[in-house]
Amino acid sequence: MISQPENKILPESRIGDLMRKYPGAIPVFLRHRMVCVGCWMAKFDTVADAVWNYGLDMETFLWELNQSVDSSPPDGAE
Amino acid sequence: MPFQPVARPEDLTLFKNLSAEEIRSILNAARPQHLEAGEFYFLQDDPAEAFYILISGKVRLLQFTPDGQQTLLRIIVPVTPFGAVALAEDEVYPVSAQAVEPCAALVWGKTLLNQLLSRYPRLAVNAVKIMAEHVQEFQQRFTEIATQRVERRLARMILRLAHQTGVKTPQGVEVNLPLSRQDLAEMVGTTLYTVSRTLSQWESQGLIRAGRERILILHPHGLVKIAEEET
Repeated sequence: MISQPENKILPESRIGDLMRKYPGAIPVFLRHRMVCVGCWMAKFDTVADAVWNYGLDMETFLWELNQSVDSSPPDGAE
Repeated sequence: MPFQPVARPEDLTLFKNLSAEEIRSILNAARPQHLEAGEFYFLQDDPAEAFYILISGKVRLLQFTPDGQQTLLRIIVPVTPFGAVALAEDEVYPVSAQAVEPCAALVWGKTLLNQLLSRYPRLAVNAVKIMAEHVQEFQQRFTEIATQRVERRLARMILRLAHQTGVKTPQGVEVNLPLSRQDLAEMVGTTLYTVSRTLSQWESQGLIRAGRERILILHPHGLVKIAEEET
């Protein structure tokens, strides 16, 4: 696993939560032509579920998501 | 107050942009009303004289056609407002609200409502927002009925219910609502036979497990694919 301890997005992160918290991650889902954005099930499914559903590579996808988080400050930051 | 709401009142759209103190005084002005299963909070075509927030139990909103046919429009779960049409003037309830199980609701009568609305105009703005959301949902459902195949409509209805009331469990997303297959058929505008056949088909594909008045979505994405017709 190349995911580092400071990674904010993990395989068990819920997709709905992470999109709300880190809007910068949304383009990553769109780029992969995933229907997660606006999906009724996004609040239940995790990153691992999405990786399985779309046959993606977990490490690459997590890396992409965490990159997007690092390059955009979280929206809900207080 | 004798109950403990699951959701915090300040999270309700109805109370958006009101202070904790204002919310408290609005809640304190309400009276609780308990109903047994089968009883009605209000009947279709009655003057809309009270506004409700469901605290416990489940309420179904039914509409009856002139020839006596019944359609289930929506299930209300705690903590959700209903009877919001009472916030508009001189309206009648477009639906009947029936308790499916023992229920407790907070009730604000017409006179009280008018006082509250003039004291807290924000309430009216928020109520409009709630009604707009409902209108949007029904427009969407209408378009679905007019344009989509039954299978897709049923998938979308189950996903919608899961989104509104579902709970994630280790087995999948559970929709635990007092909904019979007949109810589902009424909600998507099809027959009991079609609903049963479609649910059995999805069950054999491992997408769902359909129990009595309970649906477990084993493979949410599979259902989403049917709903999006992206097979």
